[in-house]
Amino acid sequence: MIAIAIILSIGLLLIYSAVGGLSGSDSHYFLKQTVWVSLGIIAFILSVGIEPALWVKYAKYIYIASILLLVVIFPLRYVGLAGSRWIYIGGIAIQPSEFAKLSVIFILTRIFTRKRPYSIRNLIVPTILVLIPALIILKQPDFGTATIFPFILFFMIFWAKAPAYIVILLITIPSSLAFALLGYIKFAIFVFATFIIFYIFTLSRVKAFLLSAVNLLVGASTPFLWHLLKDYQKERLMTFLNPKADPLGSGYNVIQSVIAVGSGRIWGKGFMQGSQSQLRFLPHQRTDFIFSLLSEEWGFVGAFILLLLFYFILYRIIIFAQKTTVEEYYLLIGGVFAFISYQLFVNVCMSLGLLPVTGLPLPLVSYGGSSMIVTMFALGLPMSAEFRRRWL
Amino acid sequence: MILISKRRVTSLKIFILIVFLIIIGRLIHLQIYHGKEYTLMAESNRIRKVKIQASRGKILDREGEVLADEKPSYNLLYMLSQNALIDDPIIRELANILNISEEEIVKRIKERPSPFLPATLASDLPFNKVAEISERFGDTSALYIQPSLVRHYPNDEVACHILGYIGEVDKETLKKRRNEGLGLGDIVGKAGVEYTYDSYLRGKDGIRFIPITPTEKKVKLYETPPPIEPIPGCDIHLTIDLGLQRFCEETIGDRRGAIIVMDANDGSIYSLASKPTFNPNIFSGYVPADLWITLANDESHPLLNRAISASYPPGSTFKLVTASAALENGLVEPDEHMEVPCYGYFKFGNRIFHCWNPAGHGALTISEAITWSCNVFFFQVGLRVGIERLEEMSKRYHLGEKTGIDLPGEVDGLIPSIERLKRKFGDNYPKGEILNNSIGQGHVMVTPIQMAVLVSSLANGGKLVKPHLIDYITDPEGKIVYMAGREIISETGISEETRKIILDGMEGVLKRTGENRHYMCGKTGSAENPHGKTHSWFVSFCPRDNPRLVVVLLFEHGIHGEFYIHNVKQIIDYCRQNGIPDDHWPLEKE
Repeated sequence: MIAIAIILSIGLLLIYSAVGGLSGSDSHYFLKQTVWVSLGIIAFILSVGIEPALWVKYAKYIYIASILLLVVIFPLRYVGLAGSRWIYIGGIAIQPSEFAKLSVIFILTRIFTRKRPYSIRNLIVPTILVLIPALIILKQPDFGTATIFPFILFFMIFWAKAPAYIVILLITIPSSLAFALLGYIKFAIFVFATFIIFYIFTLSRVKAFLLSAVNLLVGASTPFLWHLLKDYQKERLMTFLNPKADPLGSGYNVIQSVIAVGSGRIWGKGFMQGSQSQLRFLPHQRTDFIFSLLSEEWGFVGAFILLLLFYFILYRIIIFAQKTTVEEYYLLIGGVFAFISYQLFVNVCMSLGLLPVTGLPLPLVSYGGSSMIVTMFALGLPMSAEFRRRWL
Repeated sequence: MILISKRRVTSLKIFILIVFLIIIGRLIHLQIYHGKEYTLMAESNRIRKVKIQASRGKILDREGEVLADEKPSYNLLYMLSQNALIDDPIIRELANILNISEEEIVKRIKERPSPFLPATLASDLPFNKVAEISERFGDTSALYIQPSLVRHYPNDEVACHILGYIGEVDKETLKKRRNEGLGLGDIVGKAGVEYTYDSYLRGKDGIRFIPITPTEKKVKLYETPPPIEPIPGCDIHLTIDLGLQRFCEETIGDRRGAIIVMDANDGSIYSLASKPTFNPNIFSGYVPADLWITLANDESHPLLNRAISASYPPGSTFKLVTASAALENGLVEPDEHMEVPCYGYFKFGNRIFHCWNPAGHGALTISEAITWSCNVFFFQVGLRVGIERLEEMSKRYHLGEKTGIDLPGEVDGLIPSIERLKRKFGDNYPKGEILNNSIGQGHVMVTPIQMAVLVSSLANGGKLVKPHLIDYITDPEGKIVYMAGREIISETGISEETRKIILDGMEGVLKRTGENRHYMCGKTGSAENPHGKTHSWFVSFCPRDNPRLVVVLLFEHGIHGEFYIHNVKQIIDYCRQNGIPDDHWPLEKE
C-alpha cells in the first residue's frame, strides 16, 4: 500500500511537470489527475472492502455491460458523444476499454473455476469471450489495448496450471505470427522446432503434428491479418524493426523518447528541467511516454526507484496469490498480475525503444481517469484477498 | 489448493526478475553508458546554430570611394528536426508567399545533411516577403528569418575586372584552405581583388543559438548560450582612382580593349580598364544556373580582363626592345644609317617585307626610326641582332612572363626563341622570322600590363616596377595591417645612353603627331593579327624628365595606335586636374 502511495505521488509530480506547472496552459490536466487519484483511492478502498468473489459471481453481467459500453461508442460517435476511444458523459471522458479489462478477468476467473482450461475444447468459450472485446477495441482502433486481452487469457491459463503443451501452443501462436512476417524459411524452421518441442511435451506424434498444423495455419493466415492492420499500425511495427529508417517520420517518437531517457543520465536534469519534455520534443508525455519524462528529469536513480516500487508491488501480488486458499482469489489475483505487469512492461519497454510504440499507459502514473480508477480497483483485489485471509 | 503450481509461481518470479533486469540493463545502457551522447543529442535537438554572417571587408579606391560593400538581405530557414509534410498548413501558406510548390519546400527540408541543421528555404528575400512571413509566422519556431549580407558593388560594371566577384566556395578551394575555417556554403572571392585578398576581406562568422520547440509556439524556458559575435573582415584600400577608372572605361567606350594607368616609379595602378565589362552584382545572392552558360557563350568575353589575362602581338611597340638589344650590344651606332634606306619595302632573299608607309622613310638614325616606326630600318636591325639577343633583351624587360600583379588569371605571353622555332620547324626554320619578330609580329605575344612594366623601366631609368592594386589594408578598428611598398621585379641594366636614344625617339613620336603638352614619351603600335583588323597600341609615360605616369592603351582591331594618342593625352589631363598621383605636376609645355 505504501508502495502504491509513493508511486501515486511520483505520478502526480510527473504529471505536474508534464503539464508545465500550475501556470501552464495544460495545468487543468494536473488538477483533474488529482481528482482521478482521489477517485482511484476510493475505488481501491471499495475494492478492498468488498468480497472479491462477488465480482466473480456477477461476472456475466459485468462482462455484458462492459461489452455494451464498448459497442455503444460507435453509434455515439455520430451524435458527438464519443471519440474514438472515449464516451463523454457530463464533461468527462470515460474509456470503456479499461473497464473491459476487469470484466474479462472476472469472467475468466468464473469460467476457469468451473471448467479448468485443461483441454483445447475447454478453451474455446473463453477464447471467444476474450476476442469479442479485443476485436471491438482493435476496431476503435487501439492496437495496444487490444493486445492485453489475449495476454490476460494466456496468463490465466498458465496460472490455472493448464498442461504444458497448451501453454506452449499459446506461446507459439504469436511467435509464428512474428516468424511468418520474417520470411518463409525462418517460418519453416520455426514450425519444425515447435513440432519437436510439442513431441517432447506430449510424447504423441499425432498431437504434436496437430499442434504444429495450428501454427502452420496461423503463419499462413498472417498475410491476411497484416492486411487487416491499419497503415499506421504496419508502419509502427516496421519502425520498431528499424527505427532509424525514417528518423523524422514514424521513428520520431521512439528516437525522441530514447534521447530523453539517455540524456537524463544518472541524476536526471531535475524537476521540470528536462528539455526534451518541457520543450515538447517528447510526444505524449502525460500518458504513453511518461516514463521517458521520469527518466529524463529524475535520471537513472528516479527510474530505478520507480521500477523497484513496481517490482515490490508485483512481487507482493504473487505472494498474496501464493498464500490464498480460495481458488477464485488465486485466479483473480493472477488476472490482476497479468493486467498490471503487461501494461508496465510494455509501456516501459516502449519508452526505452525495446518494443514497438503502442498506446498503453503506465499503471498508476500516466494521466487518465478510467485507467487510474480501474488500476487502483484491480490492485485492491489482491489486497482484499490477503485482508480476508488474515482477519476474516 | 489444487490449482497452485509451485513451479509456475517460482518461474514467474524468476521471469519478472529477468524482465526488470533487462529494463534496468537498458536504462544503464542508455543513461550511464551512452548518457553523454544523448545529452548532446538533446541539446542539438533544442538549439539550432545559425550562422551570423560576418560582414566582408569593403573595397575602397585611393580616395576612399566605395567600390564594394555589403547590403543587408534575409534568408528563410526551416528549424525543426522533423520533416515537414505536404499539406502542413505552414508549408501550404509558405508555398503561396514564396511562389514555389509545396513539394519543392518539402524537398529542400529533406535534403539538408542533418535533421539538426536548419534548411535554407529561400535566400535574399525581398523585403515585402520578409514582412509578410514575419507577420504571419512570427511566433513559429519552425521558421527563422536569418539576417544576412550580400555583396554589393555600387558602381556596377565600373572596375569589375579589378574587383572580381564572389560566390559559394567550391570543393577544391575548401580543401586547399581548410585551416582557414572555411565551411560548406561559405562565400569567397572568385576573381579579382575579391579573390586575391579573400583572406583579408572575409571576417569570421559568428553563431547565434536559437532555441526551438517542435511545436508552433516559441518557448523561452531555457537559457541558450550567448551568441558568438562575428568578426568583420578588413577593408582593402586600392590604388585605383574611381574617377580615372570610369574615365578610362568611357575612353574605351564600346570597343574591346584595355587601358592601364600606372605609377612609373612604384607600380601603383591608378586605372586598369578592360572592356567589355560585366556587372559583378549578378553573382551576389541567387545566381541563376544559366548565367554561366550565357557568359561563357558570349563571344565578347566580358569576364576576360584584357589588361592582364589576354596576350596580343605587340607590333611596333616591340621596336623598343629590338632597339635596346641593338644598342646595348653595340650593333647599331646612335647616328648610323642602315645599308638600305626605306623605300617602303625590304627585300629579304626573294621575299618582300613592307614598311607601313608605302612612300618610305628614307635614311634614318635609330632614334628617328623609332619616331617614324620604320619597319625597313628595324628589319635590318633585327638581322644584326638575331633571335637569341632579341630573346635575351625581351627577358631583361620581363616580357613573356607574369608581372606578379595582385590579380588572378594573369597570363605569360610568349617571346620568340630559337628553341621554339626549332621545335616548330626543325633546323630549317624560316630565317625571315627574325624580320617579323623585330617589329613585334610573328611569335611574340605580350600582355598590356607587361608593356606597362617595360615602359616604367624606360621611364624611371631601368627599374621594372611590380604593378599592384593594393595600397593598404585596415582592420575593423582602422589599424593598418598591411601596406604595399614599392617593389621591383628586376633591373633591366640598360645603359643611360641607350635609354636616352630610345626616349628621344619616343618623344619624337609625340612631337611628330602634335603638341606635346605633357612632356610625354610614347610609342605606337599596330599589330597585325589573324582575327581581323590590326590591334592598336599606344605605350607611353610622362613627363620625360620627372616620370610619373605610365599609360598603356590597347584597342582590339583599332587599326593604328596613332589614332588614340589624343585619348591618352586626355587621360593625362584628367590625372593632372584630379591630382593623380599628387598635385606636384610640372607646368604644361606650350
